[in-house]
Formats: sequence, C-alpha cells, structure tokens
Amino acid sequence: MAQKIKYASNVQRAPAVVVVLFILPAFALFAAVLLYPMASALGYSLFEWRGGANLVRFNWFENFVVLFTEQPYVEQMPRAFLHNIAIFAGTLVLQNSLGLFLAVQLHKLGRMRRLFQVLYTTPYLVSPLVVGYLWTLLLSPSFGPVNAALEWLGLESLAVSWLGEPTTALPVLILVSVWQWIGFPVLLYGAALGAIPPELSDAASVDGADGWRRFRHVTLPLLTPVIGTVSILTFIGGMETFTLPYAFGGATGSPAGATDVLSLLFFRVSFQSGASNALGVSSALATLLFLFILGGALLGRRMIRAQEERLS
Amino acid sequence: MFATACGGGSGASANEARVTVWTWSNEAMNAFKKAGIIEAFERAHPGIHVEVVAQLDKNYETLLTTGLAGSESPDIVALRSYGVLSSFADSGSIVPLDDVVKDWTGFSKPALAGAKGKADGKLYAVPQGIQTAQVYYNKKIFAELGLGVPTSWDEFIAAAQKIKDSGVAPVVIPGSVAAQISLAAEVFGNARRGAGDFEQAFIEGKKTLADPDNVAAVGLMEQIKPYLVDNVTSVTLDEAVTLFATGRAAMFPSGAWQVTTFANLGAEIDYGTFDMPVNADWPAKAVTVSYADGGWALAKRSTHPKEAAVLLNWLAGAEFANLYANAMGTIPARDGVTLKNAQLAEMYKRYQSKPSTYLGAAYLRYGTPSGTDLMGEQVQKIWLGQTTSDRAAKSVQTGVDAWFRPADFQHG
Repeated sequence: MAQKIKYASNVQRAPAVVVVLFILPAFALFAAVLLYPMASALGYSLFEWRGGANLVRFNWFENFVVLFTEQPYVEQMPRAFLHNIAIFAGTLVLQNSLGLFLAVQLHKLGRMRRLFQVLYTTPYLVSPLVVGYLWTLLLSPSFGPVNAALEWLGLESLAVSWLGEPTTALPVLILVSVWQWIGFPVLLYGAALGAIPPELSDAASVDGADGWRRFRHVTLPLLTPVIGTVSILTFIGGMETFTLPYAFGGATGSPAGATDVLSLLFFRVSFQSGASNALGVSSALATLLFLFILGGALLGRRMIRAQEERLS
Repeated sequence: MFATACGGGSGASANEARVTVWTWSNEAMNAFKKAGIIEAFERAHPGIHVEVVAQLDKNYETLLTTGLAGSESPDIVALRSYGVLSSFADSGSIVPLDDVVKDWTGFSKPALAGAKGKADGKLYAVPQGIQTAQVYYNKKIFAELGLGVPTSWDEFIAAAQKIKDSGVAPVVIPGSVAAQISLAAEVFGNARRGAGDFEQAFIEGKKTLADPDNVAAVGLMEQIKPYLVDNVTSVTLDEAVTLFATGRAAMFPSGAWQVTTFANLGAEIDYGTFDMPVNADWPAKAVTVSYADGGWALAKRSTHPKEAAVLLNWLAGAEFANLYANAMGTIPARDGVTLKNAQLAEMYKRYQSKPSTYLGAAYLRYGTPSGTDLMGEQVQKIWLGQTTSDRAAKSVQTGVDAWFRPADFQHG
C-alpha cells in the first residue's frame, strides 16, 4: 500500500514536463487555428488601415468609437442589432415550443419515429443559401406557388408581397429559419426524452399525476440541460446569421433595411465599401460581435446551470 | 498558381516569359482562350506567353489581397472599377500605369475616371469596358398600342398610362435589389438632375444631392410608382428579366449586359432600347448613363513586369478592344471598335455621342454607407409610402456625408 502511494505521488510530481508535452500538439493546433485568427482580428481592429494590406498607425480604440459615434453605424448598428435579437427571440420561442412538441409527439410514436426524425431534419442538410433562394421562388408574388395557392383558395387578401413588405419580411425570415433548423432541436429533445427512465413517470402516475402534470413536473425539469443547449445555440445562430438574410434581401437587408443584420453590416463594410479603413472598422465590428456572443453564451450557460442546481 | 509555377521555370527557355493574368470572370477567361485573343498577342510578341486564370471565388477581392502579397503573385489582375480598384491602389499592391501605358488617347473620360486611385489621381488600370444603362422596351407591345419611342418625359408617362390601360405592367425594376434600383433611378434621373453639369458642380462641392434638381430627379421615381409592376419591392433581377422577356412588363431600365442575358434565354424577344427622353424645361438633354466596368492592373510583385507592361499596352489598344468586346458582348471602353451585335452597336454609338457618368458608381462607392445602397433603400421607402423624394434625396446626402469629400476627387 505504501509503495502504491509512493508510486502515485511520483506520477503527480513527474508529469509537469510530460503534461506539457502531451498538451503541446493540441494546443499548437488550437492556437494556430483558433487563437491566432481571433487575436489577429482584435489586433486589426486597433489599427488604422489604408487598403487591405497597408497599415497606417496604431489608433487604440478609435475604430470602436467610430462604430458608436459616426454615421452610418450609429443608425444601422442598433437597427441590425434589434433584428438579430428579434430573430433570436422568435427562433428561440418557436424552436423550444414547436421543436419540443414535435419531439414529444415523435417520442410517443414508436416505429415511424426514425422516418419522421429524418424528414424533419432534411432541410437542415441544405445550405441556407439554397433554402433562401427556394423560398424566394416559392414566395414570389409574380411566379410563386404560395400566393397562387392562396388566390386559388379565394384568400387573395392573404397573398401579400411576403419579402417585399417590411412588416412581413422579418417574420418570414424567422419562420423559414425555424423551418430549416427545427430538425436539430427535435433530435436533441428526442435523445433527451429517450434518456429519461420511464419509472419516474410511472411513479408520478401512481401518485395520481395526470399527463400534463407528469410532463410539467417530471419530464420538463429533466430536459432543462437540453433546453439550455438549444437556447444557447439559437442565441449564437441568431446573432451571427448571415446567409438566409443575404439570400432574401441581399447585402442591404431589403426591403428598406427591414432584414438588415449585423453580419450584413459587417459584409458591407468589409467587402463592399471600398473605404480605405474598411479593415479596421469591420474588424472592430467583428470583435464587438464576438464579445457579445461570448458574453451572452456564458451568461446563458450560467443561468441554465443555476436552474439545474435549483432543480437537483 | 500553377501558371506562375511554370513561369520562367522549367517549361520556358531563358528568354521566354509567361505572364499570368487573373480575372473573376469565367467568360473573360474563355474570351481570351477561345476568341483568339491570346493567339493574336503571342503571334505579335514572340517570347511572351499569356496564361489567363479565372479565380471563381465568391470573394475575388479577398483572394487577390492574399495573391498579390504572396511570392507567386499574378502579373496582371482584373479589378472592379472605382472603389475596389482605388482600395488596391491605396494598399500599394498595384502600381500606377500613367507612364507604363504609352497611349491613353482612345479612352473616354468616364472609362478613365473608373481607373484612378482616389488618393493620388493616378491611373492604376487599363479600362476593360463600359456599362451603359438605358430603357429596354418591348417592340411588339409598343406596335400593338400604336406607340413610338417617347421623345419627352411627358410622352413617356402618357405611353406608360396607355400600356397600363391595356393590362400590361408598363415598367419593371428589380425593386428588391438596392444596386439595381439605384441604376434604374440613374437612367430616369441623370438628365433631370443636370447630367455632366451637375456632376461637375457636385465634385467641386458646389452642389449636393439635396439640390432641387436632384430632388426632382428622385421625384421621377415617385412619379413612376403607379406604372411599376405589382409588389415591385419583392422583384428580383431574375424575375424582372423574366417579366420583361415574357411580355408581362413593357419596359425595363437596365444595363447593357442584358443583351447577353436575353440572347442566352433563347426566347425571341423583339426589343429595342432608348435613353430616357427629357422635357424641354429640364436642365440637360437626354444622355446615355455610363460607368467603367473593370480594368487590368499591374501587380507590384509581378515577376515579369517588363513583359506584363508589353501586354498592358496591347490590352489598351484597338485590336484587343475589338476582339474582347465582340467576344464578351460588352461595350468597349475606347474608340475605334466595330461591334457586330446590332443592339450593342447602337448603345455604343449613343454612348460615344452623349455619355454621362453614373454618379453613384463613380463617386459614391468609396465608403460606408455606399450612395447606391442608400439610394436603393430610400427609393424602396418611397415606393412603400414611407418617405418623400425630398426627404429621400436629403437622406442619401446625409448618409454619404459620413465619408464623401468632393476635394478627394480634385486631382488636376
């Protein structure tokens, strides 16, 4: 026994070098692939640039100040930010309600479950750019089948210009986004539901709990970690969404900026503006967006953990 | 990259050089290879080989930034005119050509304006081509209604009314795409604003977009609202082309590139084109809206700068312009070209007699927000009933005030 303890303490003392050696390859890869690009974006944002390759001077946080004090950023950044939040909120509500509802229904289904899981997940496999293009065709007032069907059913008043009106463009964007990604929460909730021992529900049943109360007080609390994961992923997706808004409204968030989001603003500044210091300002915007997403995700994680601890 | 790898290396003898050209366009690469352009050059310049590579990356400019900084830099690169070109000039990755190219006399002023670096006013590219913007009209619909090409704005509106009464949409504009709306607004409003005189006053800082003449020009977009296709703010470029090509819309303000699009559709569309006619009391006569459409620039890190200069001088000549414009179906940036396509030949002729610069493309795309994006958004707001032409014009000016300085364009 004594020898065993001695051996164990040897293992604890020796590893310093070994641990470093073991971690080094992975860390090097992590640093080269993740840390370096992220740090360089932060670095770029602290300089003034002339064109893409010529750096003029270190200008501290001036690029960040520009974002909060100068046109068009003071006007377009809050507008785009609110649209991101709306997309996140809308998607969150629909994915966590509809997604969970579908998962629960599928869980009861038995044999056909796999088939429906695959069907719900299919749009998830298609590029958002293609999804956006297809829905643009489907919703086209001139050529699209959606409005043609509505008119055929005598519902002309509902056959509106879905992507041409500011009031409908953003809700349509959210719905299509949910349509595309719903399969993912369905799968996650499905797996989590499968992992809940049926005995728990049965015990509640013996105690006289009806279906809704069993779901509310047994199943739902046990799903908290998954709800948290889905919410955080939705938050990240909602804040950095680009492809679908781009496919729908182009780089300007048509119509009249109604679908403008932060990534589109970044795209316009960095790739389309032709401004001399485009690299500096767009890097500042990217850094802000990264910090916000990181902060939001960490906060979300903390809230979920607190909720989990309260329940356990 | 493979092209430079064998440039001057094992594949070529000591006094032979391979000049590598990068472009974003597959059509351009094919024109060089299949329309005898490379052959014509190499025949006249033994010892210099040309390799044209199409970099079909979505972000061609990003790829160029890396490519031009690397050890295997291309020698000559195609660049989009104005802002993009100017930003590469700023970065120092391309070099001024004022003294490299010997003869610039054949090029028009709008073409050269698109090839200048904003910071120093030097020429950084040999202009590739010109885009003109005009109104396409369906000849069959016009004939059936007994309409001729309008000779004044009032006649244009009267014709639009007659077309509308017949059940066809008079005008289609790709109203979901900011850049397309801005281009259409330019076709309608350039002359109403005052064309070249306004341009001059604008870059001298004597007039702004809030000027009453420009407000009136933007107002034309308000006037045509009743004559636009339904749900115009949802119309994409593809839909606009289809609506016009199928006769569901009678007129379509757009760029010269549509000639190729219509030809590729395979549909028999009997169409003609005209420049927007003006009323007698407007400040300018009818003009052809035009803007520079790309140029050939010399990389600073070119490994064969001497041979590349020879090629650039040839690219600036009439022989190349003839071959290239006819192969690509574009309007050449210089004179002395005979276009085989009748539609394009007509546009080229009109352009040579009365060109007027597309203000948005030439001056308002050097910063954020771009003037053309703003114009697109503001016109959408006009159509959606959210603003007036007066507020829209002022709003575009306020937007570009963030970065636009007329003095930047004053280089002798």
